[in-house]
Amino acid sequence: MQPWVELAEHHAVELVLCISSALKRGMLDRAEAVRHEKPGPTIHPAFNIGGLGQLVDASAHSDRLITFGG
Amino acid sequence: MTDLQRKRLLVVVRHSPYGSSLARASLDVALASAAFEQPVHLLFMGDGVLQLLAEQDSHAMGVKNIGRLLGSLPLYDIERVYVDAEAARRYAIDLGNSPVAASPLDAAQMRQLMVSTDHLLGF
Repeated sequence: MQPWVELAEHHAVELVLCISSALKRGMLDRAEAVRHEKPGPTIHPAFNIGGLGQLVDASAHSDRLITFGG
Repeated sequence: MTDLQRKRLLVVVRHSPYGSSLARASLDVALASAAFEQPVHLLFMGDGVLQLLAEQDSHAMGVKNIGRLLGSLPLYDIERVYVDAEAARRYAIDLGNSPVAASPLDAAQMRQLMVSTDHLLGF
Protein backbone atom coordinates (compact mmCIF):
# COMPACT_ATOMS: atom_id res chain seq x y z
CA MET A 1 0.00 0.00 0.00
CA GLN A 2 2.83 2.43 0.81
CA PRO A 3 4.00 2.68 -2.83
CA TRP A 4 0.47 3.83 -3.79
CA VAL A 5 0.56 6.49 -1.10
CA GLU A 6 3.98 7.68 -2.31
CA LEU A 7 2.74 7.77 -5.91
CA ALA A 8 -0.22 9.89 -4.84
CA GLU A 9 1.95 12.27 -2.81
CA HIS A 10 4.74 12.71 -5.35
CA HIS A 11 2.66 12.96 -8.50
CA ALA A 12 -0.71 14.33 -7.34
CA VAL A 13 -2.49 11.11 -8.35
CA GLU A 14 -6.00 10.54 -7.10
CA LEU A 15 -6.52 7.12 -5.48
CA VAL A 16 -10.15 6.05 -5.70
CA LEU A 17 -11.81 2.82 -4.60
CA CYS A 18 -15.03 1.61 -6.22
CA ILE A 19 -17.75 1.99 -3.59
CA SER A 20 -19.56 -1.31 -4.18
CA SER A 21 -16.33 -3.35 -4.27
CA ALA A 22 -14.99 -1.51 -1.21
CA LEU A 23 -18.10 -1.88 0.95
CA LYS A 24 -18.35 -5.58 0.11
CA ARG A 25 -14.87 -5.99 1.61
CA GLY A 26 -15.37 -3.78 4.63
CA MET A 27 -13.26 -0.95 3.26
CA LEU A 28 -14.62 2.40 4.47
CA ASP A 29 -13.35 5.94 4.20
CA ARG A 30 -14.29 8.51 6.84
CA ALA A 31 -17.58 9.49 5.15
CA GLU A 32 -18.70 5.89 4.60
CA ALA A 33 -17.77 4.96 8.21
CA VAL A 34 -20.07 7.73 9.46
CA ARG A 35 -22.84 6.78 7.04
CA HIS A 36 -22.73 3.12 8.08
CA GLU A 37 -22.35 4.00 11.79
CA LYS A 38 -18.97 2.30 12.13
CA PRO A 39 -16.37 3.42 14.69
CA GLY A 40 -13.93 4.70 12.07
CA PRO A 41 -12.46 4.40 8.58
CA THR A 42 -10.69 1.18 7.56
CA ILE A 43 -8.70 2.57 4.62
CA HIS A 44 -5.62 4.76 4.49
CA PRO A 45 -6.58 8.45 4.25
CA ALA A 46 -4.72 8.75 0.91
CA PHE A 47 -7.59 6.76 -0.67
CA ASN A 48 -11.12 7.96 -1.37
CA ILE A 49 -14.24 6.02 -2.20
CA GLY A 50 -16.07 6.88 -5.41
CA GLY A 51 -18.83 5.64 -7.66
CA LEU A 52 -18.68 4.11 -11.11
CA GLY A 53 -19.78 7.46 -12.55
CA GLN A 54 -16.38 8.78 -11.51
CA LEU A 55 -14.68 5.99 -13.49
CA VAL A 56 -16.81 6.76 -16.54
CA ASP A 57 -16.09 10.48 -16.23
CA ALA A 58 -12.35 9.92 -15.78
CA SER A 59 -12.09 7.51 -18.72
CA ALA A 60 -14.12 9.83 -20.99
CA HIS A 61 -11.56 12.55 -20.26
CA SER A 62 -8.48 10.34 -20.64
CA ASP A 63 -6.55 9.34 -23.72
CA ARG A 64 -5.40 6.13 -22.00
CA LEU A 65 -7.13 3.69 -19.68
CA ILE A 66 -5.07 0.85 -18.23
CA THR A 67 -6.66 -2.18 -16.63
CA PHE A 68 -5.18 -5.06 -14.68
CA GLY A 69 -8.48 -6.90 -14.23
CA GLY A 70 -8.83 -10.54 -13.23
CA MET B 1 -20.25 15.96 -15.84
CA THR B 2 -21.40 18.25 -18.62
CA ASP B 3 -20.12 17.96 -22.20
CA LEU B 4 -18.77 14.50 -21.55
CA GLN B 5 -16.71 13.23 -24.48
CA ARG B 6 -17.79 9.97 -26.02
CA LYS B 7 -15.21 7.23 -25.83
CA ARG B 8 -15.97 3.79 -27.17
CA LEU B 9 -15.48 1.31 -24.36
CA LEU B 10 -14.82 -2.39 -24.84
CA VAL B 11 -15.50 -4.54 -21.78
CA VAL B 12 -13.70 -7.88 -22.09
CA VAL B 13 -15.10 -10.64 -19.91
CA ARG B 14 -12.86 -13.69 -19.44
CA HIS B 15 -14.16 -15.31 -16.26
CA SER B 16 -17.00 -17.69 -15.47
CA PRO B 17 -20.27 -16.22 -14.13
CA TYR B 18 -20.23 -17.44 -10.52
CA GLY B 19 -16.60 -18.23 -9.67
CA SER B 20 -15.98 -14.67 -8.46
CA SER B 21 -17.66 -11.28 -8.40
CA LEU B 22 -15.95 -10.26 -11.68
CA ALA B 23 -18.97 -11.03 -13.88
CA ARG B 24 -21.16 -8.75 -11.81
CA ALA B 25 -18.46 -6.04 -11.71
CA SER B 26 -18.08 -6.10 -15.51
CA LEU B 27 -21.83 -5.68 -15.96
CA ASP B 28 -21.92 -2.83 -13.44
CA VAL B 29 -19.23 -0.98 -15.40
CA ALA B 30 -20.98 -1.62 -18.73
CA LEU B 31 -24.29 -0.35 -17.34
CA ALA B 32 -22.72 2.72 -15.72
CA SER B 33 -20.97 3.63 -18.98
CA ALA B 34 -24.18 3.20 -20.96
CA ALA B 35 -26.02 5.38 -18.42
CA PHE B 36 -23.54 8.18 -19.23
CA GLU B 37 -24.19 7.63 -22.94
CA GLN B 38 -20.81 6.12 -23.66
CA PRO B 39 -20.89 3.58 -26.52
CA VAL B 40 -20.27 0.18 -24.90
CA HIS B 41 -19.12 -3.03 -26.55
CA LEU B 42 -19.04 -6.31 -24.65
CA LEU B 43 -16.80 -9.25 -25.59
CA PHE B 44 -16.99 -12.67 -23.93
CA MET B 45 -13.72 -14.59 -24.25
CA GLY B 46 -12.34 -17.87 -22.89
CA ASP B 47 -14.15 -19.02 -19.70
CA GLY B 48 -16.26 -15.86 -19.98
CA VAL B 49 -18.42 -17.56 -22.63
CA LEU B 50 -19.98 -19.60 -19.78
CA GLN B 51 -21.90 -16.43 -18.89
CA LEU B 52 -23.89 -17.04 -22.08
CA LEU B 53 -25.28 -20.40 -20.90
CA ALA B 54 -29.02 -20.50 -21.49
CA GLU B 55 -30.21 -22.09 -18.24
CA GLN B 56 -28.64 -20.40 -15.21
CA ASP B 57 -29.95 -20.82 -11.69
CA SER B 58 -28.02 -18.91 -9.03
CA HIS B 59 -30.79 -19.03 -6.43
CA ALA B 60 -28.98 -21.37 -4.01
CA MET B 61 -25.89 -19.12 -4.06
CA GLY B 62 -27.91 -16.05 -3.09
CA VAL B 63 -26.49 -13.97 -5.93
CA LYS B 64 -28.21 -12.40 -8.92
CA ASN B 65 -28.68 -14.50 -12.03
CA ILE B 66 -26.04 -13.26 -14.48
CA GLY B 67 -28.00 -14.60 -17.45
CA ARG B 68 -31.01 -12.55 -16.46
CA LEU B 69 -28.86 -9.43 -16.06
CA LEU B 70 -27.35 -10.02 -19.50
CA GLY B 71 -30.84 -10.34 -20.93
CA SER B 72 -31.60 -6.82 -19.76
CA LEU B 73 -28.62 -5.23 -21.58
CA PRO B 74 -30.56 -4.26 -24.75
CA LEU B 75 -32.92 -2.23 -22.51
CA TYR B 76 -29.90 -0.10 -21.59
CA ASP B 77 -28.84 0.32 -25.22
CA ILE B 78 -26.00 -2.17 -24.96
CA GLU B 79 -26.52 -4.10 -28.17
CA ARG B 80 -22.97 -4.61 -29.38
CA VAL B 81 -22.26 -7.95 -27.75
CA TYR B 82 -19.64 -10.33 -29.15
CA VAL B 83 -18.37 -13.78 -28.28
CA ASP B 84 -15.11 -15.63 -28.90
CA ALA B 85 -16.40 -18.20 -31.44
CA GLU B 86 -13.67 -20.76 -30.70
CA ALA B 87 -14.34 -20.68 -26.91
CA ALA B 88 -18.10 -20.91 -27.46
CA ARG B 89 -17.50 -24.01 -29.57
CA ARG B 90 -15.17 -25.53 -26.96
CA TYR B 91 -17.77 -25.11 -24.22
CA ALA B 92 -20.61 -26.11 -26.57
CA ILE B 93 -22.53 -22.91 -25.84
CA ASP B 94 -25.79 -22.79 -27.76
CA LEU B 95 -25.58 -19.20 -29.01
CA GLY B 96 -29.08 -19.46 -30.45
CA ASN B 97 -30.40 -19.68 -26.87
CA SER B 98 -27.99 -17.40 -25.02
CA PRO B 99 -29.54 -14.82 -22.65
CA VAL B 100 -28.37 -11.98 -24.89
CA ALA B 101 -27.70 -12.13 -28.63
CA ALA B 102 -23.91 -12.26 -29.17
CA SER B 103 -22.12 -12.17 -32.52
CA PRO B 104 -19.38 -14.81 -32.83
CA LEU B 105 -15.93 -13.47 -33.77
CA ASP B 106 -12.75 -15.25 -34.81
CA ALA B 107 -9.32 -14.23 -33.48
CA ALA B 108 -8.67 -11.68 -36.25
CA GLN B 109 -12.09 -10.07 -35.73
CA MET B 110 -11.54 -9.85 -31.95
CA ARG B 111 -8.22 -8.15 -32.56
CA GLN B 112 -9.91 -5.72 -34.93
CA LEU B 113 -12.58 -4.95 -32.30
CA MET B 114 -9.89 -4.27 -29.68
CA VAL B 115 -7.97 -1.83 -31.85
CA SER B 116 -11.13 -0.04 -33.00
CA THR B 117 -12.33 0.98 -29.51
CA ASP B 118 -10.86 3.83 -27.44
CA HIS B 119 -10.72 2.10 -24.06
CA LEU B 120 -10.61 -1.50 -22.91
CA LEU B 121 -11.50 -2.78 -19.46
CA GLY B 122 -10.70 -6.41 -18.71
CA PHE B 123 -12.52 -8.61 -16.20
